[in-house]
Amino acid sequence: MKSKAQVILHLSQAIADATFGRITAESIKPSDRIMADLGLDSLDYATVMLGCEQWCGVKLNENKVNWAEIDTVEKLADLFAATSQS
Amino acid sequence: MNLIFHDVDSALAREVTSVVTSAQTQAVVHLQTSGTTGTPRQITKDLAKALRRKRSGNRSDRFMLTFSPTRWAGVSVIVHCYQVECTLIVPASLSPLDIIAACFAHRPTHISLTPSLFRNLVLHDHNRELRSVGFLQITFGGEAAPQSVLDLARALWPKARLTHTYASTEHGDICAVSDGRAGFPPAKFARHCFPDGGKDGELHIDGVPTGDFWRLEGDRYHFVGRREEIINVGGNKVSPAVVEEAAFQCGVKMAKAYAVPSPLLGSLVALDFVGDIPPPELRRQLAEKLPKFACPARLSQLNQLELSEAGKLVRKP
Repeated sequence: MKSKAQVILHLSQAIADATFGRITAESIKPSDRIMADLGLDSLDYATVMLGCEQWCGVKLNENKVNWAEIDTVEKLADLFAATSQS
Repeated sequence: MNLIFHDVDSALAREVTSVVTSAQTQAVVHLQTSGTTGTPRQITKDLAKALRRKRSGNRSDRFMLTFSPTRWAGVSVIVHCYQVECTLIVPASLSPLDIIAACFAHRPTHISLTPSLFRNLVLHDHNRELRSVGFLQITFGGEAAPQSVLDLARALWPKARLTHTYASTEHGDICAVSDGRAGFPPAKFARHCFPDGGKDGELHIDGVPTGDFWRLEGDRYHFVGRREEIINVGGNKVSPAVVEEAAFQCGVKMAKAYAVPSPLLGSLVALDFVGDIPPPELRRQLAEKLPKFACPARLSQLNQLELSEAGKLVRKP
């Protein structure tokens, strides 16, 4: 089971890795929009999610998620933390 | 035919003896397909027919058995040795270490194997002594032979003739080349066709789809993958073979690319690999060699990759 704070730390590092260091993990804020602010494309986003699914040991149900609403680091962390605790 | 059993009491020795007896009596043998094209099936092969085929070879040739005698690839090697009256070396088992031990003990000149088993032998040759075995002929079959495998074989055995074949249990030998270059010239596929008169895609033989997809690149057809192995990343088709070959160019020793489900894009590419290169460095290098959609979203560094009984990479994740 992962806490929201843990997931945010993990996501920040995963986003930094996905951008090959263009963005540092330390510079990422929970309120940052993953695509609009941090510049990730859909492939980067999917890669970050895959890594986080593996790290949390969960599988997100794509049909139960409104992806348009999951636009910030914090919202994605909320989703993983909630799924991990359910 | 001269049979050398590394362990005369092994199950493998018994299986080989059974096939040799069938060859002597020109009987039929019951085999299993490798399952590459689906669930393994029982098939029957008439050895009398196989023995009518003219084969070239010398009695001084010494073949190393690396394929199971319960598969057509293994029977084929045994029948060849029987017909040419040359030596067949049978290891204690088909494990890489037993094959290497039999190579050192009995000095084969010919070996037929899958590219994955070849990589596995090199990986398990801890003292790098395998190159002292004077192979004159190395034949790759069962899987596509990428350029990196042919180059590795050439570097280790500069004097050996390198052949790679395309065959299936259902269609038998389809084509072979021995120029050390990956892929096949279009002339080799001239008797076969692609859907809608196209130049590539799924190869049809005698009007029957093979499930094998090929791409014409320059003057060669290169294997893309089996229908069910091609990875669809948000509409982009990714060949596992291309991803694995890029990994080999980065110094990886064994690699397996496959699809993992993604809620956003349908599938993403995952890569399991054996090698010393740290995953972040491999990821960086692959990003320079592959289109972004083909870059593995997940890298797993492992000690070994599983091979099937047919010596092929097990492609299920």
